[in-house]
Amino acid sequence: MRVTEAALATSIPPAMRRPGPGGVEAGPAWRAACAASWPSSGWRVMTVNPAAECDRLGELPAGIEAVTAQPGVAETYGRPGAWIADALACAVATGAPVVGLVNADILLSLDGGARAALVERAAQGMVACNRTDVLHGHQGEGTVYRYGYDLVMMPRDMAVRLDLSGFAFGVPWWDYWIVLDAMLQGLPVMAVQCEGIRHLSHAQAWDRPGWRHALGVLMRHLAPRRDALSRLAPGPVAEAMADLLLAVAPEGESGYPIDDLMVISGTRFGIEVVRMAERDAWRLEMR
Amino acid sequence: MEAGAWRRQYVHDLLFAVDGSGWHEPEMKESIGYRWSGPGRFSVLRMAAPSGAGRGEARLLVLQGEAVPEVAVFLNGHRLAVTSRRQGLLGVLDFAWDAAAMAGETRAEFWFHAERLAQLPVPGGRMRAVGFRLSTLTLTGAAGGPLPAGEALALIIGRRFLFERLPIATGKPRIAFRSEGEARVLELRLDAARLGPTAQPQLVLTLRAAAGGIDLELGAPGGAAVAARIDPAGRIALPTTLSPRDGLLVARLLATLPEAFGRWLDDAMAGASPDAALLAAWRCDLARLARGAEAALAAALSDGADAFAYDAALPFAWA
Repeated sequence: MRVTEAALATSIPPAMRRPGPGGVEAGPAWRAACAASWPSSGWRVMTVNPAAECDRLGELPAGIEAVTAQPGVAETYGRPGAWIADALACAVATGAPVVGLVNADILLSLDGGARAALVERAAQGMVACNRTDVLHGHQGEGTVYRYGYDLVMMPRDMAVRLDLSGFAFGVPWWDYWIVLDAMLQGLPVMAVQCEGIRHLSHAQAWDRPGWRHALGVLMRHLAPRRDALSRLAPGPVAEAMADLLLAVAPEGESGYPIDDLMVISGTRFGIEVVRMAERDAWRLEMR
Repeated sequence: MEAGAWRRQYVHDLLFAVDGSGWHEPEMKESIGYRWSGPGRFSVLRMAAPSGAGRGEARLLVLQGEAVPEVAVFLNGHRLAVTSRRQGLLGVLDFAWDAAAMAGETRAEFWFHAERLAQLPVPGGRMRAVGFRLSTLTLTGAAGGPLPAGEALALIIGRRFLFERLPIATGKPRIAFRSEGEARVLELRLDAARLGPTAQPQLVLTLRAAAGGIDLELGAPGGAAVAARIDPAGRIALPTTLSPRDGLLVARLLATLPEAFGRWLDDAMAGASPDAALLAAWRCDLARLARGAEAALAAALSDGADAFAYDAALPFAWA
């Protein structure tokens, strides 16, 4: 019997809309292609969805299990979904030595060698992968999107040390916090670019309240570990941004110009997290 | 797709501080951070880089209706072949280099030479000259990750030795170029330099590059000068008219010339439209001179007279 080397958790939405060439709706085909791309020999995949969504997922490819999500995402973020911590716990519960999270609109165009390379590195530390944006499914070269991590893999014993409570799939900041949480604990993190981790470009629908709420969640996690951030030597601007955000974000302070300050300082702080992760930056070559 | 190897990457995001010159303040548009090049055509960016051969990707913000700008790219004075492609709002310049471009260099010094400049208003209202919007520069080594550094103690002792026993400072560089027949001539003036304990209010270094090598003269204006020659293989003999200690100081000074050239570029190229090919030729020559001087210095320290026997407090003397 094949041993499970890696367990990935995601949350497939019941429907996906993506613009294709010539205005064709490419979402359903892309959704199906992504789901079909994840399972592989030794890789176990589960989609974590609210009970109300499970019946609307349609037929899932072989190798993907549906798991009922913990409630509360819709009440918090105004849209149904799954908690990141819930999904990662599902992956951990498989007992696989390497566990991870993948966003549902990511297509893994990876052969066995690439998967083995990822598992080998993820057995030693966190592997936080950028996506490569393409304009259509058959495009060869794409461009890497550096300001986000769409596939994150790590050793199982690292995953149990992370606190991802309050973050949800489809809402920003979880990917920044997962790498920052590891770095704050002195755990190894590598930022990875790989052409085989593909994403169909689409306009970003920015949900400002959700963005602000999730930033507040991040800052509540960071507050008791502020000293650990200094030990990472992120630089004076990053520390100043963190201090400003710690003052206004956790409790949802309001008043002029708090909202604009949060957007600017939050954006800069996120870029600082990327810069820290890229201190150990790698590329997994595809031939 | 078939998997290849892991490659170490170095990323510089132009939203952050720049070691270099010829860049406007950082901006962000469509969630893409960038800096306009300008106000001249010539922009310099220095960053950590993998040793040996590698390849790079410069990502430019290119708005709808704009073409990917024509930009010549140089690494440590070596002109790189560039191919460009477009992906949405990004123009991507791809280039690669061989090991020679990074030989003897501790950092990568990239030059970008914009084909065209435009006058655009700053958000505040005044006009400024801009070339292209550089978002990130990503460098990838051709080989695997760096090997663990060794010999740390020797490195620390060596740095302290050079700092205390053979201190030099190049001061403020000013450079002029001219030609003499077939030869290219570079005249470098160093204001407020230092050789050992002795201040050098002004030093003049003249380099004549021709097919047979590079001849150099170094001295104070109107005073004695020392001469040396770098052969086509990059070998240099330290001046024999100087004391052994002062010969080492001159070698140390010559080894730092690429760095001084870089500082001059940062000062002199603001708003300029230079002859990039000429600058590139001299940058390569100075790198060859520096490597030759370092080799001569290393040979002298390794096999020459006991370097600890010199009196470091003795003034530098030209003859």
